[in-house]
Amino acid sequence: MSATVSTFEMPRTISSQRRTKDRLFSIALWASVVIALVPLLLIVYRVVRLGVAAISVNLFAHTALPASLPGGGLKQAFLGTAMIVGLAIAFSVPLGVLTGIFLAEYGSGRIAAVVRFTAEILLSIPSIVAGAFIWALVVVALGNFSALAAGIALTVLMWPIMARATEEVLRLVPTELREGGLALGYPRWRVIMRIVLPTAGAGVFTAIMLAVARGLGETAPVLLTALGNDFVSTNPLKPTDAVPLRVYNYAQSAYPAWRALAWGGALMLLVGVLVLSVTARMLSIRQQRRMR
Amino acid sequence: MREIDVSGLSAWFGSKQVLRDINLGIERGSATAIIGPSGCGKSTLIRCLNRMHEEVRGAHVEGKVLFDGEDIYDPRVDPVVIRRRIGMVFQKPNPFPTMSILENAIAGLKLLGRLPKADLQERGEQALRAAGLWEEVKDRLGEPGGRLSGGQQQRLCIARALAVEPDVLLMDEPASALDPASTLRIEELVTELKDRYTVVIVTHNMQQAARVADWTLFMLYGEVVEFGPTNKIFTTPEDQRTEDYVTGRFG
Amino acid sequence: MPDTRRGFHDELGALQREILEMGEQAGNAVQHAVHAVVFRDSEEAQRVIDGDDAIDARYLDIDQRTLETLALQTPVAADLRLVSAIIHVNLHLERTGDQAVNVAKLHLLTEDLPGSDAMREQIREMGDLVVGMLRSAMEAFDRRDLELSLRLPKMDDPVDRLNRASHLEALKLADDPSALDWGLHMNLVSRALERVGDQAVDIAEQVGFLITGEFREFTDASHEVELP
Repeated sequence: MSATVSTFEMPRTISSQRRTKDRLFSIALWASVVIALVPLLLIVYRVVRLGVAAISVNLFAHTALPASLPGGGLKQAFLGTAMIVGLAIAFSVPLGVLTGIFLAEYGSGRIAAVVRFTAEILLSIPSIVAGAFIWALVVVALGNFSALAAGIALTVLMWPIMARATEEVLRLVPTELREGGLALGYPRWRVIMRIVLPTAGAGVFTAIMLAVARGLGETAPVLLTALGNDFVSTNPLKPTDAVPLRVYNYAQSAYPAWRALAWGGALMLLVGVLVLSVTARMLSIRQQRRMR
Repeated sequence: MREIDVSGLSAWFGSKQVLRDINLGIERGSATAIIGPSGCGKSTLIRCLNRMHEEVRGAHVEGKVLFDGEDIYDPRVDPVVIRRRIGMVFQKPNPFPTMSILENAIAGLKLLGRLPKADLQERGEQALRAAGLWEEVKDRLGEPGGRLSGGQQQRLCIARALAVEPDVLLMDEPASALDPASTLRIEELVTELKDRYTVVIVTHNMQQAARVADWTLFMLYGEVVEFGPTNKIFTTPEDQRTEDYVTGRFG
Repeated sequence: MPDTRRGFHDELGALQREILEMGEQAGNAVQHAVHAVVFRDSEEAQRVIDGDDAIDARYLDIDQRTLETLALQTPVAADLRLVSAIIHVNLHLERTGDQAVNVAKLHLLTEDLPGSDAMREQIREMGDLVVGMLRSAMEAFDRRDLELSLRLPKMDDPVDRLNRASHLEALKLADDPSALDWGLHMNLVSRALERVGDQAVDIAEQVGFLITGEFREFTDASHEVELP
């Protein structure tokens, strides 16, 4: 091969050397994808296989029973989780969304920087730390474990997600829309309420859903704050059961019946998180399309 | 008579000065074009006329802008009120995406207190007519504003600005983002509008200024170079820099 | 498609109407001036001279407005050719008005001198011909009639013949000094009228340019021109 190749002599086909390199690289990429996916697929497979067996009316309709008795269920756990997550949503949505609005619309000052930093930190603290903190604060103060405490603990974990996600979505709303509102003589708050928020619309909802998806699955904080309960509890100030909690307990038990229920609970958690995540993703895609 | 009287206006972005001691008088019922090379401060100037400049963080303004006898920069004056009398149309059409065409047109009217629905409807129609858009949208007022073409969206934004019946309409390169046919329509619209409103239009297209404006202001590096009747600026300008700019020798 | 430059096109229409009116005025001026000579009407001659101010004022107005149109509207294509044609025709008509004034003045200079009916008849005929040429040229302009405009040069031939004939006719007055004086002045009149004919041909050339986009000389001082 000569050292200089004129354009007229450029080979028309890719050299075999290059082709091999391309191929090796593609193989390496695919391999890493497969390696990453395999554990996920194995987990899903196992949970589905073992959990499906436990799906029955009993799972939802019956409360916990001693292992010796047949027909036990997770009803109180599902209801407990619903109450805990419900409380968490009630606290974290206003807190998170309003913080997100603050950060997006007034977010260039020092206060905003501090708030943003705090949210970032809270996003990454181990959830058991949040649980311990709330235990010390609420459980000790009230004198007993409760759904309320669990709800507050989840709030600590959920609101930063909502705040940051809301901020991101609001930032995506083009500045010219805000300017259009201001130029019409809209006061700032009205620009936010009537123009920016509605435009971001689904995006804020997505932010909430992502936060809830996290809250659903957290075990550690619930462990330290809710205690657990074999019966359905309707009092937020009293201990309650929760699905992750129950799964934790049953999975370690000696009784096959309980272990089966644990798989069932795990499957339901998986399904819940999956549904929320996928819906959030789809909504966000639609939202992005609208912004263009 | 003078609608807007600017005296000693200077503006900064942070520590960078972009307008230097501007003095300018704008006649009522006229169209004034502001021309000049990129970065000369024309957009900043027009944004100072409705106090939009200060919405940018770190931006500030000195000097006086008298509108209807009052200084809009007086600390007692609420910028929100000013903007209802001095409206603005932007370079990129910005209809509100969650509102329908009619809702967009009357978006500014909601601020004026509770008006009966029929009134709102009628004023929306008037505004759309004034903007030359009514015939094209009268059968689809409920559709989202974003479905219209670029030129139609811009006319919708003009309708939105006109619906509140401002005294002055500021236009910041309103046709820059549009195709030539839409551009000419907007220009024709401006020549109609200047009978009822005072129009100030920033444009980087000199021929547009020539076609549309009664008065033309030429700016350079944040300063006024020349201000006069359009036909004078384009036939016998006084300042050599103006001559060089309009003949295309620079900028 | 709606006309998006209605204001500009309205102005073009207005300018065109102005030019046509000016054509009328100039044509009338020539006609009245000739009439003054033929019927020895000094008052009419004076009226022609006074009336030229109006033509000049219109000339200035049209000139200013076309300049402004070029500066402010940047016309192109047919619009540009129209503006250019209007500028040229404006000038030709103004000169025509000046020729009418010359004719009128020439009468006033010789109003007391005896004349020859034969020459007066020639002048009358020339007057009719050139006014007709002017009117035809303006009509061709108004209607954008290329064929009509191409006939103008031919219409000039009888005018040239009459012009030459008037020289010969003047010589016949050699015996009477004052009549000769008058006759020589009348030669100037026929030259002025011949110039009006030339202006009309020039206007027709502008019509040709306006319609075809090509400028062709219909008559050339130095050589023959073939016309379709």
